[in-house]
Amino acid sequence: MNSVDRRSVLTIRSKQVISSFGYWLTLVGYDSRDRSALTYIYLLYIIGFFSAWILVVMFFISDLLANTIAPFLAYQGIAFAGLVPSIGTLIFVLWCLYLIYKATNRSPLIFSKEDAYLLCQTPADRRFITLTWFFSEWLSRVLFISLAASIIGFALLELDVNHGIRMLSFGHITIAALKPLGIIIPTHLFLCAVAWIIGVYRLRCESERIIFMRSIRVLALIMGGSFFIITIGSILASSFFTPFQPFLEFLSFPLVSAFLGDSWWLGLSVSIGLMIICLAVLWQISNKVNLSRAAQETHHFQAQQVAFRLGDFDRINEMNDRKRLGSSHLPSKIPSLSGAWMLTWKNIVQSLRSFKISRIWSWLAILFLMISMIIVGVLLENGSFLFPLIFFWTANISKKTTARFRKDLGNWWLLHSLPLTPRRIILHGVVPPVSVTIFLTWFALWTSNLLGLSVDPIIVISIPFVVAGISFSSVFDILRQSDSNMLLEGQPPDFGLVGLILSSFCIGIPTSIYFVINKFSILPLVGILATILVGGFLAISLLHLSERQFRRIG
Amino acid sequence: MSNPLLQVQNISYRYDSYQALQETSFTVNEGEIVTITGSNGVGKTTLLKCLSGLLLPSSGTVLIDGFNLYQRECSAKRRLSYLPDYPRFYQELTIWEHIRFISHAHSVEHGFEKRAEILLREFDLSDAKDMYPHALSRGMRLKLGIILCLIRPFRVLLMDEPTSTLDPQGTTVLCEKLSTLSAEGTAIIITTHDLSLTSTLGGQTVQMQRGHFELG
Repeated sequence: MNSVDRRSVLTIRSKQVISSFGYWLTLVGYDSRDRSALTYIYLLYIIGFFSAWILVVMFFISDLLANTIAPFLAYQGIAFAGLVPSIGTLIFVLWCLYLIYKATNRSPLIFSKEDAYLLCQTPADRRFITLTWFFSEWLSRVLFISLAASIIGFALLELDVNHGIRMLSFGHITIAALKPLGIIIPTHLFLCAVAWIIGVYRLRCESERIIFMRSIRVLALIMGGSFFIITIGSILASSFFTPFQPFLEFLSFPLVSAFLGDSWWLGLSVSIGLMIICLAVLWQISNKVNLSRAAQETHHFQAQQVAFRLGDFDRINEMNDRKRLGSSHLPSKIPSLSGAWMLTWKNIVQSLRSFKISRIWSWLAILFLMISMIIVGVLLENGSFLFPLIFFWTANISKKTTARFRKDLGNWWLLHSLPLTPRRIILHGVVPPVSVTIFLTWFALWTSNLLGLSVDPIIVISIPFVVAGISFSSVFDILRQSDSNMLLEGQPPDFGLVGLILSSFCIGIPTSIYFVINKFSILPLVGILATILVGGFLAISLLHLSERQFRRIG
Repeated sequence: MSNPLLQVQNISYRYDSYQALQETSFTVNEGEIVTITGSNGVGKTTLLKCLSGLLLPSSGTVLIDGFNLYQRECSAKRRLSYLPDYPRFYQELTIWEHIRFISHAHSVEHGFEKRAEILLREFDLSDAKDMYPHALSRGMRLKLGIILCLIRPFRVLLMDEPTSTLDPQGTTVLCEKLSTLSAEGTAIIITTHDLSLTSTLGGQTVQMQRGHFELG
């Protein structure tokens, strides 16, 4: 492989790494395409600000460890300094076993679909590609470990200040961070390389060696479980686990050297030695790695990573649903009616097939938020706490009641071809989740009543109109932003600020009626009638606006 | 004189400042087949999207069997069937459930199973009828799109590159179906790059150029 090929591989990988790093910079408003001096100054400011912020947070956590956790542990008869290497080793070993477990299932080299067509088909040096991918992957992981190691280093230094060192200097702090890092970084690299060796070995084999890989998986599970029990047992009941002590000491030797400074040079030599051996083995076995197979195994995962970075959770859900659905299913036996009712039939079949426990949680969130609102409103009578709760409740209702309708818009060709009026399409998509939300909200009110928190009848009566109003506000906002080409691509927009503002009217108006009735001691029946009339008018108006917007999509 | 099923009056479409479709008027009578050819990006798909109501034209109206597509949409859609170039499907419904959904939503209940079985057999999808769309190849997905277009009642059929990923057998079946439909009085508009298809189907062939469409 010549230097031009290597440069090409490095260029591709560095662009991928920079683009994933650029995602974090975009979050703080940095535009990498803008080459003006002001942007560079802003970049320097961001780096300076976050460096200082991270350092402050690190000192805060280390202070918490040294002055709260360590005395608490000492009170229980456990030395913090003695606990750090044991727990650190446990975390490292379990993490490494987890990586090994994953590597027996899926390639550690992660490639996109584009990589599969462009890079994996080329005769580029497999060793060079493997090591480039390995180091770029390792770099993204080592940062967190380094920060954690430095925090523990600071905490141990602070304990020394309490017991030995009188004054902290910059030198003390630097050494406290660098000493553990000197051993932790090569150890971390060594453990990563072990997992990669297994993954690359699997990709190298002509056949999959299923039994061998399954054996490693089972072994990893047994080792992880056993090591967890032994380590925790030796901390909590050391006398019972005495026979395992030499074994634990042997495994935790690098971390004892890193954090406690005993035989630091020996610890450093051992970790660097292990690192070099593993990297050499990885280099040796990666010459025949099958990159196309790696791409085949990982392009789906890579697409999910990209979707996550872009905040495209619909895409992630879609990919996960496809995986869970499999390839086929026997026809549904749910009876169907003709015409618009087929939309309800379709919604029921879709909901049953895409059912997940996590989807129940989002419904329960609406219930718990309602109960919290009643507790805060009735017991605490605190408006400032009530507003964020109302906001989350509204956003949750908007999300849940429009989820199916949004999915239908993603199949615009089919939905648009139906000989149904926009009103029927909207109602069949929205009414079932709105009904569930109303039922849940009433259930929350009933529960609160049982707990002795009295709720005004006007609130009970206004719930259906408020929920319908919130839902139609969101539908209107989604349709307002929709564009035919976007929908044909399967990308319906989500509700936004306009939807939330309209929803706030739907909540605010019945609430105002409630306050007016209370303040001027008007008959409650008048309030109930006013709520029904105004709430109904708002909901119907928003439905009408949504219908008009539906017709305007083009 | 033949009955006009598709009447297009002064229709045009702009994407911001770009005139994707220049103003045009034409009529397609019952039993007529119009095949539109032309290079990529000349506006074939835009024209079909406007005719199907998926895009609101910048000007003009479309009448389907006398019903205005933008004012009497339900009546118009009962007489119209459209196949896009890349059809998308519900990922939780199988092929059979898609057919059931579309036919029942169009109030076609009696005999739908028999018709569906025939279409599935003709397009070689019988063995895949319980499969989800995401488990199908592109060609199979296109076949499913064609079946969904044909299972419902219609008088005007619009198809955007229906043979782009079809196998030769599928193309032959589609041509036979279109010829039968034309003989039964359906007005058909197809866009394609497949010149052999234009000669097989007969009818009028129009070469579209830079958003300009004129039917002789």
